[in-house]
Amino acid sequence: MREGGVASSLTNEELQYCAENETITIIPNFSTASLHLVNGEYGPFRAQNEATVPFWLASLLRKRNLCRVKPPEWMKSEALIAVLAEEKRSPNEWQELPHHYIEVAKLMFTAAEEDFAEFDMDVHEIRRLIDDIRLVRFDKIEKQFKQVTSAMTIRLTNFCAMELNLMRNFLLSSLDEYYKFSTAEESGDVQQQRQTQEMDEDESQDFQVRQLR
Amino acid sequence: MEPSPSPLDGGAEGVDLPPDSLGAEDFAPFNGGAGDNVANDAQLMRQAWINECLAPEILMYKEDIVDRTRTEIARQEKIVEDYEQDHANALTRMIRLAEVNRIKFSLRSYLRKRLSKIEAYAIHFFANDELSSRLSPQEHEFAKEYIQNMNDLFQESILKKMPRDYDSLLHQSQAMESEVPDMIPEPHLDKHVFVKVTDDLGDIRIDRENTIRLAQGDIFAIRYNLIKEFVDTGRVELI
Repeated sequence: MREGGVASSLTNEELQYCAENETITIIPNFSTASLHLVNGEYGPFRAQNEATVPFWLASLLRKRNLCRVKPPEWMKSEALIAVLAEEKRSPNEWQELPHHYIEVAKLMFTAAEEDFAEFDMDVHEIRRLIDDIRLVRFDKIEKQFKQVTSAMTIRLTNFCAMELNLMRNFLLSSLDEYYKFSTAEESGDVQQQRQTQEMDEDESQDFQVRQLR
Repeated sequence: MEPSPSPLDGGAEGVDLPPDSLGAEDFAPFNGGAGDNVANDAQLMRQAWINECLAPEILMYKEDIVDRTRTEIARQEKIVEDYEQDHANALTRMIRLAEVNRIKFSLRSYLRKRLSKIEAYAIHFFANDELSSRLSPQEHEFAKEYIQNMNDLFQESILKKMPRDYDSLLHQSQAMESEVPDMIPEPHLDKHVFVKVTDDLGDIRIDRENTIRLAQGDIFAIRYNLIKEFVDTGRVELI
């Protein structure tokens, strides 16, 4: 049996494309009736009244100065400070963030950087907080890799699109190799032990034990 | 490419229909949860493309979604064309055009990804009835021609210069006559994938001793073989 080479991954551009379908609130400065698009119905748009649209539409309007983009709730600095503190506190738990938080943040900073001030938000602080969260989480992910020591199914709930995409090749191909070895061992009748590990849960017990000592 | 006519948009050319008049009930069961937005064709097309990108094997051709998407693209393009001289509607026209281009992108990426898989595993798909039933008629035609051309090329350039027992595209050596073809590339279904569970699937067995619970919203790194039956029905999404 031979294997042809079909790469299974996504590019960052493809991820951004997916993130652009997330919805966001805008405050238009024009008025028009509802738009029936394939993706759904948007509007009606009334000047100075909030409307919910997908991100690609928001940035298209923003580029033409037809709206302001309201930063999403989770981007408020109090929320981000809380998330960052939690991320730092527990090395094995991942806070729930929007699946495309890195891409959405990047889109916000490129398309609507000036709009933060209008909603009393400090764009520099928010940018720094999101960067910190991203780095803390990546750092934790790197440490978690050490637990991957055999063919296993790993629970990764709350991991975000960009994080999964970055670890995709490394983690999945490691698991493929471990699995190959474990089936080879099995067929050779060697006593083998395979584990199922829920990365966050098992380890948090482990963590508690370490705390008690 | 000509969009195939859909019974659902009878004579509605150029008229804005609410999106749910496009057969949303067809896929409502996959969306389960009350209060969820019912997935529209653009979303379904996107997920079909992502699934195709990340699955090691070729998935069932999503004929319904592709046909509806093509119909929709044609209709939106017609509207864009009709509004060309209408400067009062320049903005909505531009928005529509932007959306159509985005949807075309996911449709094209989907079809292209499938072609690259067919090129990689053409003989394997062609030789297997279940697998060839996943191809659209056009893809089937493409696979056939691709195999023919590759065979001609290899025969001409190498194989006919090889010793007789070694001149097959399918066998490493014909010295052992009854041998099954051993040079046909095929996808590895034991590869691991990232998967997001979109429906409560209960416990599934992952090896002799262990089971794992797949609850809605969970994300796993898991062997493709264990969850592949759920991909086509939309109960898990590859991510």
